Amino acid sequence: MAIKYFNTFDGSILTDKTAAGEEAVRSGRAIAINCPDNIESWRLKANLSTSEVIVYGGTGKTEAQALQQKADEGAAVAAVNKEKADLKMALTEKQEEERKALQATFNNLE
Amino acid sequence: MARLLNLLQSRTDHRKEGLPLYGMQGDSGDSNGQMSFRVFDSGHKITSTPWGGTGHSTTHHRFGICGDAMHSYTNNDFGDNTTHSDLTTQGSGSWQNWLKSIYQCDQYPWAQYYTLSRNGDYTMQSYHNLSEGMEFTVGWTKINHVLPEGIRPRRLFCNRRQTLRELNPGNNASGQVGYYNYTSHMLNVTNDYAVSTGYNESTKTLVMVHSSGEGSEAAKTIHIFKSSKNLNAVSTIKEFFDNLTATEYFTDSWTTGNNKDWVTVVGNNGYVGFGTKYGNSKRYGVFNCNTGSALGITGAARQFGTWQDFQGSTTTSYHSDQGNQYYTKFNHTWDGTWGMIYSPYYYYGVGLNAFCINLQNPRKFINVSQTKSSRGNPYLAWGRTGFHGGWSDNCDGDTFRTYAFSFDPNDSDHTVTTKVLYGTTDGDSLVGTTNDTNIGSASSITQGAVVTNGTGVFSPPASRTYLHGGQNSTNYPMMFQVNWWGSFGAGEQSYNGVRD
Repeated sequence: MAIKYFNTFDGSILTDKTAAGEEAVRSGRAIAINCPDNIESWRLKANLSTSEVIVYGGTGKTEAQALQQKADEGAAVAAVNKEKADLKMALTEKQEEERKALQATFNNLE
Repeated sequence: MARLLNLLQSRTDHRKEGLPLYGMQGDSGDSNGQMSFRVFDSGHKITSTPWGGTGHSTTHHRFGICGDAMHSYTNNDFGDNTTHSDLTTQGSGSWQNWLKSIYQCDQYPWAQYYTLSRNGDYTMQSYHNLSEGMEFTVGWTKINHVLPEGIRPRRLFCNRRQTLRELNPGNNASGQVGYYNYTSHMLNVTNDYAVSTGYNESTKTLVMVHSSGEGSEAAKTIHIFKSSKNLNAVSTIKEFFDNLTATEYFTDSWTTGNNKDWVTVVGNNGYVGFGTKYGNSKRYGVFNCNTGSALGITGAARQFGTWQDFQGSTTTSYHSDQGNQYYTKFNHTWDGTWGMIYSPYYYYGVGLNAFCINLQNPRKFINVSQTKSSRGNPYLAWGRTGFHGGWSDNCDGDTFRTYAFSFDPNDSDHTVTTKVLYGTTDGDSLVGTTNDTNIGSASSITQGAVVTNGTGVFSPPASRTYLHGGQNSTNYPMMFQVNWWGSFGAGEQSYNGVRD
């Protein structure tokens, strides 16, 4: 375990250097949390309510496994976004068809 | 009188621009639905013309009459989204994933993958042969400039081996404008690979670092060339060297990961900052490069303090050893008083691992750390004395944010702490209910930080711009560098009032 320092505004990691971290703590910009060893810093985030560390993927995952999880989550988000966009596109096309039908009706009336 | 002369000089310098602008593209879903593109100033007010800005719904043909000068059918180019993709593990061929990365921009007014006019007309670079573009292959040879207020580099000088070349500005492989082999002016030619070069226009000083190779070789020879001619104003490079008023050198051994990562920042006071990516971290050292003081020919005789390792958080990240395009970047604020040597925090282009340096006095510097690990954006000059960028998360029902921070342009004393001001997500805390106090009472600055020079770390929070991403429409905005911010003056929206 080792002390690391996290930003008070969003819990993101600031540093693992004592002098820089303690200066930030003194000015209210950071909090110090004891963190597990051998975890890449990008996976660490502070729960500012409990002052505990959150490890992305959990402490049991290796770096490679955590990266895979990140890639999978990214792909899932992309898939949802695409589905959402396709729905919007379908809606737009349907609206366009309805507009054309109305226009045709209007033209016939004339 | 000096102030008046400065004023007259700055008003007549045709290179001087108004305060920084940036472009922003937002698109939804698979980019085939809706997208928009506009140009904003540092106050996030729109500046692009209605014809320059781009709106796109289902018209295809790459945005109709405002079309990018590109050969493609829809916004969904080449089978993938232009701006929607996060950079994670993609190689250099996946250009669309790189658009938002920190690698895109530096102090030069173009980017690795596109150019953009202030009116909002932009063009992506051809995806064919992209990895052979100038920025991609030899962007690291560009000179790092320290320039007067409101000026960005308008001439492109690249230094490799012992030849300084001038190219047409931009990411192209067109013919050279000129070249000059300066070997005869060198006092020591033991190391003959130029790996980093910095120029200070106010002192007309060119500082070059030569090593014994373009890899991880440690041997260094640093030359200081002072001229009576301004390199940015000469007709040919030779003129600069024909009018040298002083030449000195020193040798040293600087350990590094890859020599292409060196950045050289020539301060107004003759001190020079040298920074480089160093493993996952970064390293910065300051040397006295004033001439005429018999300072000697060893690094030890000229170094101020010791090498400083980056003090923020680090994780796996790339440097030039993994590819030339990963070279460490340099940028500066609009007023030319602060600079930033930087690279991403995380793997492929996200977050910030930086030294911010006072350009009057490079002995004054702090660490800036931003630890984002997905959805990045480039960092750009912002306002008078600041930078912003770095954020491209989903703006579905949310406002676009940037990591914005700024410095005191008059604070160049390296013996006192450095104050950094920053934004927030809440205007009420930005203009707070308690009084701020000044340097020395760190905890009393509600939206700022007081940081110890050298070892102190500052981390910028996200600031809300109140530019909206609409409702129920997934979009990840991308920030663009703008080629020309417009002429400085009262007729300019981003003028920001009179100063002297």
